[in-house]
Amino acid sequence: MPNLAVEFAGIKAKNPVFTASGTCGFGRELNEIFPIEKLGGMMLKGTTLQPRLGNPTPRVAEAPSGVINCVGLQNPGLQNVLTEQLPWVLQHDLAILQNIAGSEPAEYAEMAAALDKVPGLAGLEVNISCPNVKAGGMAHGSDPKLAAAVVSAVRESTKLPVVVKLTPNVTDVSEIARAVEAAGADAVSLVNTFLAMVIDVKRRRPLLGNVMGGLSGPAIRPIAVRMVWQVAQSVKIPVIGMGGIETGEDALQFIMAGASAVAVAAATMINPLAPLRIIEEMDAWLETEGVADINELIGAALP
Amino acid sequence: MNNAIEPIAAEVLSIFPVADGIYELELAAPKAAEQARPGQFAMLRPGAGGKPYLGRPMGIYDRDLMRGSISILFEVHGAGTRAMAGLHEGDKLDLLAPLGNGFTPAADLRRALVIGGGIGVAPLYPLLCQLKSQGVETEIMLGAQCGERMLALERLVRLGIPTRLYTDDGTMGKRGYLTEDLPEVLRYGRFEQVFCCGPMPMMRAVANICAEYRTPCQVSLEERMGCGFGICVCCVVDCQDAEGNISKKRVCYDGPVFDSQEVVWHA
Ligand SMILES: Cc1cc2nc3c(=O)[nH]c(=O)nc-3n(C[C@H](O)[C@H](O)[C@H](O)COP(=O)(O)OP(=O)(O)OC[C@H]3O[C@@H](n4cnc5c(N)ncnc54)[C@H](O)[C@@H]3O)c2cc1C
Ligand SMILES: Cc1cc2nc3c(=O)[nH]c(=O)nc-3n(C[C@H](O)[C@H](O)[C@H](O)COP(=O)(O)O)c2cc1C
Ligand code: FES
Repeated sequence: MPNLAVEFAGIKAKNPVFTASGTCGFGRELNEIFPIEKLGGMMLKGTTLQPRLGNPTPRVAEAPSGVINCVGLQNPGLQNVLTEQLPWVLQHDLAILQNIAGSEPAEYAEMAAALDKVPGLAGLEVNISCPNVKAGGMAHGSDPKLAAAVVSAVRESTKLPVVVKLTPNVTDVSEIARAVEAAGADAVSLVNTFLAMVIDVKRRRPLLGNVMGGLSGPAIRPIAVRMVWQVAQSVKIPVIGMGGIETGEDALQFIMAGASAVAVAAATMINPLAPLRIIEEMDAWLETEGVADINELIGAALP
Repeated sequence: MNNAIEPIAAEVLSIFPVADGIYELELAAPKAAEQARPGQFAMLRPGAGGKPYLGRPMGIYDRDLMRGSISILFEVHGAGTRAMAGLHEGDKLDLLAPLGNGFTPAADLRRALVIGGGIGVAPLYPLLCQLKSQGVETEIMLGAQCGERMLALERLVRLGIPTRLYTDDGTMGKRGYLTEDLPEVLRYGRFEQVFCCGPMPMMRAVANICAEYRTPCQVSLEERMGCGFGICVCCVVDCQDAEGNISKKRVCYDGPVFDSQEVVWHA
């Protein structure tokens, strides 16, 4: 049996496959379908200080080989997450990262401080890349100075590992990655969704309730692989790769491009068992290729 | 643990048109057939090569425990349902079922009124079977654009439940909307519970009339879905509790059936 266990930024996971933020809620719904402990870990739904109702519907549209969403960070708010969600999910043996989003650095810091005291939490994923909210979100992640300000504020408020989630909607993603590394990030995760839209020709109007949304799924995979490859060469901290992963080989592309772990969003939406299939396929691939340890493959394709 | 909603590649046992652009599709899905409750739905992905990408939500119309199958009644709209219409016996498609919470008739329910509009009759048929076996005195009101689009009639006739029919053009039953007669039916029918599935404007009107006549009403709602099992929060509707607090609930996981009083009915 090949070793699938990985460790990055002080986070230990029994395998490198996580469910990405926004397509695993806080774990309960998926656990009704399979034991979530089979996963390496989960990035829980993006949470804000106050509860958010999110954007008007429709919030989802079909795209060629993918999906466009504009959920807009609907979530029950930090208090509820602390008292109702985390205590439940943290009973399970897998690496749990709480994804957080705010409208200014102080808000991120307040959340980081509150989460710092949660026993068993593996780390934070700092979302500076949501394309579907007006305040903050992607605005923070598109400017190296703003990105660094958020990360510094979080860094000062917690001892937990800080993973910073990057947006692909920038000219040079490596520049942002370097800025957050300098500000104290322990790892970066990428990519979030690509800003996109669909017109409903019958109504002659934008289809989505929030006009624009974020594109993800296989459609974005080659761009995401390219970005992970570039970022992995620009920073010393670990990288978590995501974007259109559907199979074990897709996941291995990200790992060989330099990712220490991967996350799956869209594929879980269309098949809740996709993350498990990805783990099995990776395991089988390693077995067939005679690779004893997944860690041997991290960055294998880098120059 | 609910291993009931295991994704499978389901084989098409039969598919045939029942009206212009409307098909009945029978799929081999023994576990889903066993577990499905009235008002639950399925996510179907008909295409090869990942096209379409997302599943399409469809109410479970019927099941056959002997054949280990569930049936879907669907109308062609866009790419996804067009691909479904092109399926043949023996083809396979991705299926996730049964999903959501169905209708919940009280154990001591005595008189129920079931209201369907168009394709909305599909998830009501299993409910009617349950009401009949529970011995609930039931009446049906069905509306459609025209007689040809009055669906599920054969099955309903076999159930032998008193039925009022309405069409927009008068080609079958009474001409006009069933909501015109609903106040009268509720006033004299002594119904304890209404169950409804149909187009949004019809459900909104039914909900309003039921509120006026203080008759509890369960509606089966529709919203665009991503996953169908509660993880993406794409399929929300505005709901409100007794204190007037607004929340957004997921049609797929918290519904698709809601108490009509709980729903905020936007014009
Ligand atoms: C719980 C539930 C049960 C349903 N049961 C049935 C049924 O028994 N029979 C039937 O014919 N139809 C049913 N529908 C509606 C059916 O899902 C849509 O007609 C279908 O998804 C349209 O897909 P399309 O690709 O042909 O259309 P397109 O418009 O091309 O679809 C594009 C996207 O919009 C979504 N979408 C479009 N219209 C709807 C809609 N009205 N509701 C939800 N999503 C929509 C699709 O899922 C897809 O993601 C149900 C919907 C829900 C939510
Ligand atoms: C419905 C949906 C909701 C999402 N919500 C969040 C979120 O709350 N926070 C976040 O950082 N990313 C969110 N994402 C982005 C994903 O975590 C992921 O970065 C992106 O979808 C790319 O992966 P994929 O191609 O596998 O979908 C969401 C994605 C989808 C499809
Ligand atoms: S469709 Fe994903 S939560 Fe309902």
